[in-house]
Order: sequence, then structure tokens, then C-alpha cells
Amino acid sequence: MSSSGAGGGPDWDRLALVRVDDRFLHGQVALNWARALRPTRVVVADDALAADDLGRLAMMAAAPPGIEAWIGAVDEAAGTLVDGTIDAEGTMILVRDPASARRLFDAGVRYRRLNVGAVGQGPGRVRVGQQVSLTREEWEALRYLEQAGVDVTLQALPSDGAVRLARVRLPREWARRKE
Amino acid sequence: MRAAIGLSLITALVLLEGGSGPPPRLGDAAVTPGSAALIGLGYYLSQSAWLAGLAYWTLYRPLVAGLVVGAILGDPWAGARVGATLNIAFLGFLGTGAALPTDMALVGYAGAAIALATGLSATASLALALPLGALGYGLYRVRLRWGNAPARWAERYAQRGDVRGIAWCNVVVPQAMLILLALMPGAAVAYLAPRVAYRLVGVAPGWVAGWLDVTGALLVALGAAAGLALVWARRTAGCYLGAAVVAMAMVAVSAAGREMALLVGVLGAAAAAALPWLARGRAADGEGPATRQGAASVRGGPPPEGGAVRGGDRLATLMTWLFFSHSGYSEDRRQGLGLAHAMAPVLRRLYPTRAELGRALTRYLPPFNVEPNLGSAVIGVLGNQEEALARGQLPPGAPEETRSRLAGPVSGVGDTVIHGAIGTVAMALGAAVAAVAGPAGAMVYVALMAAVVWGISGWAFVRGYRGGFPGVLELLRGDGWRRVVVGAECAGAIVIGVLTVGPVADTLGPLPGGAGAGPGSPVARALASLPALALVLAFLALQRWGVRQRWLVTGCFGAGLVAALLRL
Repeated sequence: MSSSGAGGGPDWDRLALVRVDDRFLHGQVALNWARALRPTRVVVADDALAADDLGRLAMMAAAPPGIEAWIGAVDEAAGTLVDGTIDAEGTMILVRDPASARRLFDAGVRYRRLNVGAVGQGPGRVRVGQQVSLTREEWEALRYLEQAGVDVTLQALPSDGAVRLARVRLPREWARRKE
Repeated sequence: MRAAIGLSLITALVLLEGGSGPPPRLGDAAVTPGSAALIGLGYYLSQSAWLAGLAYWTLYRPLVAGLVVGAILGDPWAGARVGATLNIAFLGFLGTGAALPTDMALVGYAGAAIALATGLSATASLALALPLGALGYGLYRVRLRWGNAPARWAERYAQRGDVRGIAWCNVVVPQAMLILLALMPGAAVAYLAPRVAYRLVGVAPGWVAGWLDVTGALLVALGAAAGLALVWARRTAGCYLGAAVVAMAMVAVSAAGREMALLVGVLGAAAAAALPWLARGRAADGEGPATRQGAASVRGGPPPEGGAVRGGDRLATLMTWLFFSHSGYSEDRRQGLGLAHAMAPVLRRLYPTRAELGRALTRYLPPFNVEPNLGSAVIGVLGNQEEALARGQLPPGAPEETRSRLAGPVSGVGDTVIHGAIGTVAMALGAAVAAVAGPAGAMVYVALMAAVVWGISGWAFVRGYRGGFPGVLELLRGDGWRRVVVGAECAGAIVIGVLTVGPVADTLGPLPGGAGAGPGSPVARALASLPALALVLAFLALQRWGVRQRWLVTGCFGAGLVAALLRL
């Protein structure tokens, strides 16, 4: 545990990036973000991928030169990060969706910033950003994280501007149901 | 962004309206409506589906756009050199997964037209045309949004097993939309931009031209630094500095130093690219075969009697993918429509009844996105698995699983190899050659990229088709692509080193103490490119400290202003 914070646990400020991206390690991450942030390792925290041998092998193989990849279930990833088995310093964490991001946070990975990069269209999802579509529940999960003090922004590439959650235009029916 | 577009439009209108005096005295190569239409056509083709996957790698780049505009306006040599200067500003351009930083093509076509028609310098034209990148990017987003409609219509055709209907939705409709979204705006910009630029510089006080000049020069150095950042590592730092020092020495000792530096740089880059392949020993990690178990491969399986897929069907699938993978690109489905279109030749052979074909085609319409060239391997695997599926050797749903398993990793590797490594080297090389040999730069670059795009696409497709999922997994796990990346990074650093001493230093001419101070002692000639080197390294340091590109660009405009005012 080389990167200890004031409280004795891992120093979460030293994480390179925590990103919601349902394609995990693809071009935008392996090239744009990896070049911009130069992480030392990538942690993919996803239950489905961890259970899929072939998918995991393919994803592991796509790690850019000089970056080690670690793939495991969300709880497992949280455990190894919290106890320091995986150093938080220079680590880029990838999760599939806002629900996984929230689970990771609740399991003790207290990241300060969350980058919502890419969530594809799916049942019940509504487009809220260039490459981000969310269900109402996923939106609530992001709001939960924001209220817990996480700086949640939508941003595809390092060269793009980061859009704060509060400035994201919501579907009208969501706003109406809220009242 | 919208504010920027609005502001530039209003400025343009005011300037056009306000010029009631004598008509603008444009240079010898004034942009007539006819040549504006041709330039618009070039801009259209740069995003079209008609160049077998090459458009984005050739006509989209300012290096090539400059040559095209030069040919249209009657001075290919000048166009090529302007294009090369514009292109250096975009050496760090990385467009991955539908997200582009800006539209370098519109900047390229408009910038070259401005420079050739008005006689303004390449750097001043760059500074003037840069805001148009935001306009082009806005048009690109509109194109993705409009693409949603044909992608949705295709569902009805797919269900009916109507391949022609899918082709209609993927090719005819989107390419027609592109006439509205690229050809017409491109032609309008090519016609108006030089006139606006001419009026602007004509009515503005003298220091404005100087401001634009210096700003453009700084943007070129910033672009070189951004390209360098893509290939920068501890082991490539030496390549860059070494190449720069050697090039400076050659410029100092010989009148033909530029040419010699380029030649030595090319040889050095070739050696650097080959080196990882010569260093044997590390290759034998023996991991490959272990991954074969558990994966379904149909290699060598006997084809069924009726409905056997022929070589021609496979070729048709590859060619459809090569041409039209991005033709009907949309916000909602990305290449989903292109994938269904590309799979059609193989599926049509496997499923003779319309109902079966319809079910198979429909499976391919959902969202899909992959780097298209190395991604041809995924198309090959899908063809392989469809054949196995039709023979009952695979469970239903296997192709869908494969698609989601492979698209991300293959894109990660493909983007790293083709966009990050090879593309950066090729662009830098093209610009370096253009500075010495004009049109040859763009030609060398196009030939190189054609070999890379077509070579990788064909090779990956065959590899995916023959080897199936395990074959592609082996490719990803092997160290071949890592060697390409490591070699290309060194080669890129060397070429950018030569570029820094050559064209980047040239653009800094107007800066006090910059290059281009004319002949002098050898030492003075060598030291003339030091400011360029220092500037590129300073920009690199700022980028690595995490200063945002947006602020660096703003800083270039600010610093250019200060420099111009100081010189008054």
C-alpha cells in the first residue's frame, strides 16, 4: 500500500480515472485516454465480463503496451483496491454502467471524480449526451454519487469539454414524474 | 461551439455586406463558383463512401486537401506546401469511436483556398480557417443524427429479407444527405472564406496580418508537439532529440541540408520501425495455442451441399464493409446498418428463404462500432460463425456474443496501431516530404495509407474468417501489433524531429530570432531552428502537465497578439 492517504486507506485522489464505458477497453480508452493520462494499469470491474472467459481473454490482450490489465467482478475489484492489493496510484477503473459505479463506490472505492464516457442505447434508455444513454434508475445512481460528493461529468474524449450532471438536458417525462 | 459558429457567421456577413467599395482584388487564383464547387466536391468525397475506406485517410487530411485545392486553383505545388503546413497543426488528431476533436478537412480545404486565392501565408490562413473546424464538426453531428432515420427504416427491409432495401438505406439515402451536409457547405465555404479573409485583412490595421501569421505558426508548433505527445516515451525522447540535432547539423553544413536531413530521417525511421522485428527472442512466449480450447472454430469443416458460401460471397462481404462500413453511420446504431449490409452477401447464400434471411439480417442491425480496418477481422469471424451456425455447429446467439466480445478489444488495438502509431508517422512523413518536394508528400502519404488500410483490412478479414474467434484472439495476444506500435513510435519521433527543424522552424520565420534569417555562418543556420525545438518541447511539457488543448489554442492566439503588438 504505497499510496496511503491521510486516513490510512488508499489515496483515491491518485486514481488516474474512473470511467463508465460499456465497451471498456476500446479505442477511446486504449488510445485517447491512455495517451492523455498515462495510467500504469487498467482495472475493469464487471461481473459479466469476469465470468466470461473468452471475453476476458480478448479484453486482457487489448491492453496497450506498458499498461497492465486486471479484470474482475465489481466486489472483487473493490476489495483488492481497498486493501491495497492493487495500488490506486495511476489506476484507471472502467465499469459498465452507473449501477456498477455506485456499487464500487458503496463498496469503499471513494473516488472523487466519475467520467461518464459511453453508455449505448438499450431498453428504457434515453439519450442524454453525445454517446451516453441512461435509464431513469441509472440517472438516479449518478445523482446519488453526486450527492455523495463525487464530481460526475459526461465526457467522451480528453479533448472534449466535461459536461456537469446538472447541465445535462433531461427528457421531459422524467422531470414531470418527479413532481 | 455554437457561439463560435454564430460569431464567425455574423463577422463574415458584416464583412461581405460592408465591402461596397471596389470588388476584392483576389490573387491570381481567385476562387470562381466553378472551382468552389469542385473544392466542395473534394470535401464531400473526403467523407463519402466512394473511396474504399480511404476517404478518411486521404482526402480528409489537409495534406491531401491542399494538393487537391492547389490542382483546382492551378498551383498544385503551392497547394501541397500549404496543405502540409496546415496538416502539421493536426498531427495530434485522434478520431476514435465517432468522436472527433474538430473537422480538420474543412480547415484544410478552406485554409488552402484562403492561402492560394489571397496570397496570405499558410499560417495566417490556418489561424483564419481554424474556427471553421467547429462548423464542420457541427455538420458531422447533424449527419450522425440524420443517420438515425435510414438506420431505423432499414429494420423493415431487413425483416423482409430485402438486401436491396438495406443497401438503399445504407448507401443512397446517407450519401445523398451528405450532398446537403458536405458538398454544399464545402462549396460555400470555399467561395466565401477567401473573400471574407481578404476583406478582413484589407480593412484591418496592419498588425492583424502579423497577428494571424504568428498565431498560425504557434498552432503549427503546437500540432507538432501534439503529434510528438502521441509517440513520446523515455525511449523515443532520444529518437526525437537525436533526429533534430542531426537535421540541424546537416542544415548547417550543406546547402542541400534539408534534403539530406529528410533522407537520413526516412532511413532512420525505417530502421526504427524494423528494429523491434529484428530483436528476436522476446517473441517466444508460447501463449497462443492454449487459448484455442473452448472456442468454436469451423476451420476445415466440410461445407454443406446446398447454400455453400463461395469465395465471391466472402469477397463481396469484405468489399461492402470496406466501402460502406461508415456510409450510414448514425448516432443510435453507429455501424449497425453498415454491418448488416456487409454481412448480406454471406447471409443471402446461407439462408435461401426470405423469412430466414430476414431473421439473420435483423440480428446485425443493433448498435455496433469497431475500428474498421483491423475490425475487418471481426467481420471475418462473424462470417465464419454464420457458416458454422447454418451447419448447426454453433449454438444460436454465438455471433452476437462474439460481436460484443471482440468489438472493444479489436478497436482498442486497431486504433492504437492505425490511428495512434502508423497514421501519425505517415502524416508527419507526408508533411516532411511535402516541405521539400511539394506534391510528392501527399502522394507518398496516400500510397502509404492505401497499403496500410487495404492491406490490414484484407489480411485481418482472411485471418478472422479462417481462424475464427481463436485466430483473432491469438492475433490480439501476440506481440506483432505491439512491435508495430513500439517501432512506429520511434519512427514517428524521428520524423517529427526532422519536421521540427524543417517546416515548423520555417513557419516561425517572422518571430524575432526565428529561423529564415537568411544565409549566414553555419552555426547561425543551425541555431536558427532552436526556437522551434524549444517551442515544441515547451508545448509538449504543457500538454503533459495536463493543460487542455482548448487553452493552448487560446494561448496561441493571445501570444500571437502580444507578439504582433510588440513589433509595432
